[in-house]
Amino acid sequence: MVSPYPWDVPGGVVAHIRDLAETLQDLGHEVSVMTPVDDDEAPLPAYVVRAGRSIPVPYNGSVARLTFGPVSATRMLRWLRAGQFDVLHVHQPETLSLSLLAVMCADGPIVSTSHAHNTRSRILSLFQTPLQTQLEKVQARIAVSPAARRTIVEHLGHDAVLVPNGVHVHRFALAQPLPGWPGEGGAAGFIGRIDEPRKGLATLLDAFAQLAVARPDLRLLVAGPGDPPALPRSLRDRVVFLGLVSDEDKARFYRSVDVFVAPNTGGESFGIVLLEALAAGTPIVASDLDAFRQVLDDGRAGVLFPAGDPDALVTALGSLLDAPGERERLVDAGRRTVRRYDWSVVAREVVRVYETVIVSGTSVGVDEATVELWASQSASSS
Amino acid sequence: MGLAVGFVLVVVLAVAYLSWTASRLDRLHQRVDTAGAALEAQLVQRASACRTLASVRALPAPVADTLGRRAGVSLATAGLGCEREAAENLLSRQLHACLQAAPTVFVPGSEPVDDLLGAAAGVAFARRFYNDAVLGALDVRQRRLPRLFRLAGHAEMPACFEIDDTLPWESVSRSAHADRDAAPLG
Repeated sequence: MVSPYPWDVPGGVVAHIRDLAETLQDLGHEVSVMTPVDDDEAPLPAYVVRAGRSIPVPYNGSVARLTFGPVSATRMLRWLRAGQFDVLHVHQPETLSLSLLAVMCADGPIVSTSHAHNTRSRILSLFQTPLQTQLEKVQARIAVSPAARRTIVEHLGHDAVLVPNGVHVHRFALAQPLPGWPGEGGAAGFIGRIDEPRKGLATLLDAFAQLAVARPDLRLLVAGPGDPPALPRSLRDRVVFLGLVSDEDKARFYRSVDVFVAPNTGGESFGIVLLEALAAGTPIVASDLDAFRQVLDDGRAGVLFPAGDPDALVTALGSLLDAPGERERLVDAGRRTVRRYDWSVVAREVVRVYETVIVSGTSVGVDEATVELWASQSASSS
Repeated sequence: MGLAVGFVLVVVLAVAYLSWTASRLDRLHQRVDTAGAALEAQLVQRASACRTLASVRALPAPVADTLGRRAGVSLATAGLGCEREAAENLLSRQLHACLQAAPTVFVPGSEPVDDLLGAAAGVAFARRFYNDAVLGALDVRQRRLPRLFRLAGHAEMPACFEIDDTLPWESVSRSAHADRDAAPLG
């Protein structure tokens, strides 16, 4: 498997790769993951192989980190030659990244997974034709959501099968609440980057301020990195900011609140936080984004409200806090919904995709054309 | 002189482009072949699973007999032509009929049923990958230059494989897998 993003920088795609790799190993498969690692001292699991550090490149107003050069290529070729893999699984190969490099270097059964719903990159467009023909080597494409699939179809002209993101259901289901939570007066929860407007914390704080008036003991628990916003004095000791939480505390966070709120206003292609809340058995109020609607079975496994509308959130959250029976019903429906997203189920579907590209007697090799090109390049530059 | 150099340059570039496109087409055709072989393998698995299921007497005799017969026809048909499409479609239709006649049989947990559910999902995956490969190859082949210079050589014109591979029991299968895995949790 190849990761485009540094192993030691927390993120959704890296977590997906780690969980998939570990579940496949539990199912008895051998897995090796090639990934950028920024910190040379970072401790790594045995199945992870370093591709080198990522290099910051100014791009599109921000900084993109790339691992795409001769050192990585040499390591990639060595890894492919030594591994004799049955299948190569690259993640997010549509951008200039280690994953694309892997596709260029390899020859044989290749599977890709696309996570984002907007992978169109200007860097890639520059080299559109030659790089896109490299992507033609990918034999099977997986998209984690209908939105991600639409991007592949529209921008790259390829088709993909849907295999959703996974969640370790039992890790969330069995976690202990944080001490003192949720408490008698009720508690709502939010997780995500605090200063990313599309995560929608502002909408929730607005709604919470309204609800707080009539509910003197209602509290709000907020997990996620970023600087907490200034709050009116009356709310200061009723909104608790946990900051960036560990995986273990994240599971405990979901178990610590009566209702989990996902007030995102856009930019979500999947909604992994909803799966985590469903797994934890926490009732959900979420904005009506396509991706959320999908995960919540069109509202059967959670309450949907119009994105960005604090008044609608007041109504939805308030009535759910007042109705323990309804919360129980949602938790039951949620437990049934989340089963098909458990990693043990999702990983089996990924294996089924592998089985359709593996031709007996072959393994992943190196692409001789790329090797020659590389050799001639380094010969002319030295 | 300048004109001659320019002409030579154009010819060299054109030849380079054509040979690059030819090797690209070659790779695309190889992918079609690989994906086609994978699809055939999945179809064979599905038909074998149908035949096994028809023979274990879990289904009512009339639908089971037809299922077994149609699986036999499918197994006897090679390639991915019209004939195969027709045979596989009849098999799919019979599967739907079986599901209607005896829905309880299709609850996962027994070996022939699990094999069939897995094989049917595999057919749906493999067919999508195969058609994607075919469309990719056709897209390049049908451009003007590759046609003019016959860059595809003698490779057969690939065609999509169209059958009904919908899985009415997909949700059943998924949640049942989960039931089994989640069982220790209560």
